Amino acid sequence: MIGIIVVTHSDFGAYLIEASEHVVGQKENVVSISINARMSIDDIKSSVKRVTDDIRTKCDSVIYFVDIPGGTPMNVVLPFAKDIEKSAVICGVNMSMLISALNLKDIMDFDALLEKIIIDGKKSICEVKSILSKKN
Amino acid sequence: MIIFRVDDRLIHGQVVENWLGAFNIKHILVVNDEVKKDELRRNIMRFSTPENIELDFLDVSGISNFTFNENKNYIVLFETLDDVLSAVKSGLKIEKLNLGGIHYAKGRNFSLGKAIFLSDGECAVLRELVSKGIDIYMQAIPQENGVKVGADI
Repeated sequence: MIGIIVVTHSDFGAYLIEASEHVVGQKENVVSISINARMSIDDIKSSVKRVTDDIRTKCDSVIYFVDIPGGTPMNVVLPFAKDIEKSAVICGVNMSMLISALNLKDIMDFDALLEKIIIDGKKSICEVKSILSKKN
Repeated sequence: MIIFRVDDRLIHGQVVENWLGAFNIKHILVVNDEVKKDELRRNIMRFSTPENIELDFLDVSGISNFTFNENKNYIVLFETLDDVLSAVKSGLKIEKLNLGGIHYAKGRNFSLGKAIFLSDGECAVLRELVSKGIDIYMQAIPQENGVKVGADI
């Protein structure tokens, strides 16, 4: 089983999960951690540890999604990810990649899923007006 | 298999990311007179549809003449219940009808859950469809349980 932990500045991740589940339905083993300015680094670490330990009782692999490369969510998550053999930290989380992850995590194997998430996430970033005008 | 769905957003996330995969749907029919005539909306819907899925746009009066391939799964999208009734009156056979999304608008004062709102006129249309023997159920996404809608609304 693959668990998903979305760690972001503020409640972005929680709402991203809510929005994605509106499209694909509720899924098991999907959790968010909201980081805010009132939390110390130790608070954040202990939240990530608690959630990671809990997910790992049910999942042998974990995908962490974080918002920006080099941000606190990424920095805090990396040491935990290093200790899990089958884990990944994906930066730049967006709704397309989270939808793909939720839709496919219970049917694809870990490496294929990672690749698919990155492809779908990148593909979703585009300027639509110019694409539509090229098609005509 | 053919899924007939009323969804005022026609092609959107729930349809593309969920219904297509859940039922191995290969062909989308958008049945809507305005979209048939509106190139921009057609292009947007084409953009939103995965490349391996066929997509056609039909008039409400044209859907009853469409020839479905028995070996393929379809989803047929209507914007309104009125359009469904018109299509049925012009000969379209429907056994089951999915109510996916009829969002709130002025005059739609009757709520059947968070994504279905009906005006008095639409309630009457719904009753007429039920009286024609169509099994009508509310279900926004496949993971939700369908809720049957009876003639008693």
